[in-house]
Amino acid sequence: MVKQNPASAQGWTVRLIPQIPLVILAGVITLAGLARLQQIFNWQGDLLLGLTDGIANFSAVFLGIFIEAAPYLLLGTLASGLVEVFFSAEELVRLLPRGRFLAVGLGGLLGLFFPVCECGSIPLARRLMSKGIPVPVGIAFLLAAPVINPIVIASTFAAFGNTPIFWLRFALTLLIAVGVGLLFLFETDMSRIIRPMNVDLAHSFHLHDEHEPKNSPSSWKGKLKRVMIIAADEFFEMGRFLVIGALLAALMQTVIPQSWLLSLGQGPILSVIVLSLLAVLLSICSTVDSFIALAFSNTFSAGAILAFLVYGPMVDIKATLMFLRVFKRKTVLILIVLPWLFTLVASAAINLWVR
Amino acid sequence: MTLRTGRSFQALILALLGLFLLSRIWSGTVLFYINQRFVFLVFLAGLGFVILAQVLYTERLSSQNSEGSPMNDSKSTLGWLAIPILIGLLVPARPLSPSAVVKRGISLDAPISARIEDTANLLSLSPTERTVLDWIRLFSFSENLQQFVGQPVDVTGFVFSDGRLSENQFMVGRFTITCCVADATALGMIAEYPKVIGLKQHSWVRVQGKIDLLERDGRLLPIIRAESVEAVAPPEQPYLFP
Repeated sequence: MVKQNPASAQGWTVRLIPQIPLVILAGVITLAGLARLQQIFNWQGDLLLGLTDGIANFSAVFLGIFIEAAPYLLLGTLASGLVEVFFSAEELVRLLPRGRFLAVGLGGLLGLFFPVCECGSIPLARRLMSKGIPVPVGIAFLLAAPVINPIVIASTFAAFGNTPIFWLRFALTLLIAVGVGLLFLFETDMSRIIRPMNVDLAHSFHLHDEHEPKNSPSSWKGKLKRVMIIAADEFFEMGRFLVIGALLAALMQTVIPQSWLLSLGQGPILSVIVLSLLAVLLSICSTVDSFIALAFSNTFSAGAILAFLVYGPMVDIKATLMFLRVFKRKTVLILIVLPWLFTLVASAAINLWVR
Repeated sequence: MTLRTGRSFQALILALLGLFLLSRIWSGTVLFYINQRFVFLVFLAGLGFVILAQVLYTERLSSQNSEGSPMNDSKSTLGWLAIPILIGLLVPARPLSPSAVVKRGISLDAPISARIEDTANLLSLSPTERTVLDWIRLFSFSENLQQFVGQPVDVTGFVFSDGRLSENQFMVGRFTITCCVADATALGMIAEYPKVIGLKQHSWVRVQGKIDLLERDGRLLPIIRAESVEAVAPPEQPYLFP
């Protein structure tokens, strides 16, 4: 099976990646076994007690994040399946306003009607652009849609309530997305921005209707079934990043004393840099990242939390990988660096002057 | 892995995930992990996973024509989603233990999410029914703190003492959960008790006494003049939900 996979030609690092869950599992099983033994034989001793306490706390935090986030991830993937099956891009192209500035601004708000997270917004934006939507509009959509959509609004509200962070997250995201989109108005040669569509893209993005005939299910039942299958595929694809993010967050919380993080987390500029980079590393889906941000909110400055919530959904490891398959290298660099600079300036300004 | 076996594995994992969530709700241990206001949502998600598993399982049978087609990187993605299920099954369900306070720190202030301006409800509670969180909220948002002096207190929490307290003081702590355990914040009320030495760090106690005011760093905080401190079993629901 491995031989059929073209990725295996890239060397041992790629082949090792599927083994990581197994390694983590083996570790967890060993530690959990220890915790059970301690419970059964009622062993005493500070070291062992500390260890089993640590395992119990680690799994409580991990499961906490996972259980909390799972319903929102499920909602997001179902929405993405609905968009996939019931939506035609051509109609949207006709409805778009003629004015270019207005169109870009609208592109930033399109996510309200297409509730996809970053995993869905990139393939969708690419498809919209290939069907005739101007590139700047597509880019504004691409950057804004993971945050400015009903599901993320609901989950952010569940986590933060009616607080400045809740409102600023959406305002700042819209501002940055439209700003970056407008910059692309100056580049008229499309071929210098996007790569030509390639067929294998459909596989990696789970765009099923490009390798399965779209007209196959015509009944409502058949369509709903397809929505659910796409949702399930995407749940597994994206759930992986949630599991990794939750494991890291739980590890950080059980191993690193908060007072260490506090020294990083209170500098008005350093804290913003640290959390925006962490957002990239964790690659948590935008539907659930506010719950993880909440976990940091006791230690980190408000601006840093905002940077985590604004920059994370725009750029992270999995988004960058997808960017590289849609855009030319130079465009990808712009898409990564510009939003980061904007976020940095805005969040640091909030830390320095608002508080 | 063929599409067919891939779908079977997906269905299996989704079904286990759904049953795991539903069983945690059934046993009540779901409250070890999340705030109670999300339980209904988790219940719906549990049902959703089971339904999704059913759809995928029937799809497996009908996708005979594409049986030979491989599934993209399914093996690694399936493995990741098995981790929460296995951790849930293997590690005994336990709430965050009071020892976590060493890593997380303890606060004398109400958490961000608990910043309600409306203290009327809390004031209508009889003083002995108020929890650690209620008292800290009252002290954060009330104008007149003198009104509480001398009121009887009856709170349960874990013992936490650190170097900043004097010898006859300790903190009665509780974890508050806004969304899930990851945002757990320990809140503490200072209690004064002559026999602090006999109390075991992180053990659960019930403290009864009277409220008094304590000035610390230019702020007025509640302090319990404890009359009795008895060791108790950890409460069924160890967290407080703001």
